[in-house]
Amino acid sequence: MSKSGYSVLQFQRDDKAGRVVKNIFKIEIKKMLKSKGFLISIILGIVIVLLHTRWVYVNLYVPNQELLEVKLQSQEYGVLDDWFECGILLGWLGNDGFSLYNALFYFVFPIISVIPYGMSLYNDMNSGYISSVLAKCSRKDYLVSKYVVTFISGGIVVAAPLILSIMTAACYLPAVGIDLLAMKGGSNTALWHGLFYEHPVLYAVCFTVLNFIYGGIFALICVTVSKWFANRFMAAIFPFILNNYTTKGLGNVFDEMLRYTPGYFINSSLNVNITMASVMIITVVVLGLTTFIYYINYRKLETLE
Amino acid sequence: MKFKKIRESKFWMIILSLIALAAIVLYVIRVYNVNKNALLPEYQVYSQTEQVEYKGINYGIQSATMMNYNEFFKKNPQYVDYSIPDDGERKVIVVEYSAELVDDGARLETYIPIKYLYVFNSFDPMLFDDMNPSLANGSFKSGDTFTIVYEIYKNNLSEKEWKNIENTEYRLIFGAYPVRKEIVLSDINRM
Repeated sequence: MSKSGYSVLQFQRDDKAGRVVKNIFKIEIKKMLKSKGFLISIILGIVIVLLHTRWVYVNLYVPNQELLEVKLQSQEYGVLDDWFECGILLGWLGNDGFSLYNALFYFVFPIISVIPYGMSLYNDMNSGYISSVLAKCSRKDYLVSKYVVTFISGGIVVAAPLILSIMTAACYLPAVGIDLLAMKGGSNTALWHGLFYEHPVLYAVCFTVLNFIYGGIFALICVTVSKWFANRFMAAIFPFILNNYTTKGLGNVFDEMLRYTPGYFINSSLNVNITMASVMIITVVVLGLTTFIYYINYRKLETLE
Repeated sequence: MKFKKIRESKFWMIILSLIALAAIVLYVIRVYNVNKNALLPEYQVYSQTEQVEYKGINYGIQSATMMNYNEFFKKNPQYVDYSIPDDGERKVIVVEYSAELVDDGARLETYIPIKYLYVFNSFDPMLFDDMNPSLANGSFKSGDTFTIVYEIYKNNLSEKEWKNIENTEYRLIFGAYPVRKEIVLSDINRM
């Protein structure tokens, strides 16, 4: 039995390579889902969502309803003219520009995404688990599985709070777009701005998918650079430092570049002026570069084969 | 009972599944009710030639003219440009309103925003004051006209939207809730 609790005997050698990959993949997924890091990240995300939901309910929704009651009782001419219903996006963590919880979530975003599985390759190598695994399967199969599971783990832990947030918001806010009169829309050049007003739930889904991808990328960056650091803590906070360096460092020095930094455009509350094509190009480049460095770093992984 | 034992027990699994199913049904009912009871305004859309009764006053559109921002000040040198010079390229829509008193207790509403694409624009209050001295000195009477200049900023729009800005639909908004009256500017003079 390995240190991590997963026996390498679980691998069932098969003539078909696909079967082996599937087994490794299944084991890695189980490992990830049962890891303490995954639980910590999910709990952290849920705590932020619950605090945020409470904040929105108490500070935005209830005062808006109270204002309506007061106005309905007033006999003054046109007193209701500046009242509008709060839309679902007002209560969505991903788009909240009023409380600090959105800023907090995106501040810890790279940390949350690496906690579950970002350090797994480092741990496997240091614990010796990797030698046992590579005795039963090929290095390529192992690395591909690790790559995919790490990506999924990072994606899940950042997407789950966003999904939970839209679900809790749906319990008290209708799925209508934010009223133009609320002046909370931003410019017409922001990403998916049409969906923002007309299909708010789809808008939230699109940004959740984008966040999933970048959660995965941050986790991959961590697993990729973990070979460079003797201290695993350094590897774990590397994506966090990189994200802050690009958004708050480089982004502020080169003003025009700020909108092209992922840490900036994945946050829908910032209404970043960027096109879908630019987002796709940046994502492909970042993912491609991470994959390339991952390959370079681990292609000569020591094996017992 | 340990989780593993619960998982292996069919009875407990059925109970837990039923609880989960009930929670899902309750959630769906709740979301359905929230959306069904949403307090959305009733929209009333008017054409440019129609009068809109709002807060006891009948508002009508006398004219609507679109021009470049700089051109507006060339044609009207008596007005002061209060904006910041580097605000970027922009156009203006000059709308002349007529206001006729219907109800004696009514107040003139001069805060009439404009909506186009996904943009909601207010207007420059200082320029509004300069253009409507009768409102400032109290000599405005029922049946008089007043003018509002709306600014359209290129920076708020995509390149494609800006190119098509002259053919965009503009709506003037009277109130937000429970009835939202909107006048569609279908006949804008372009200069």
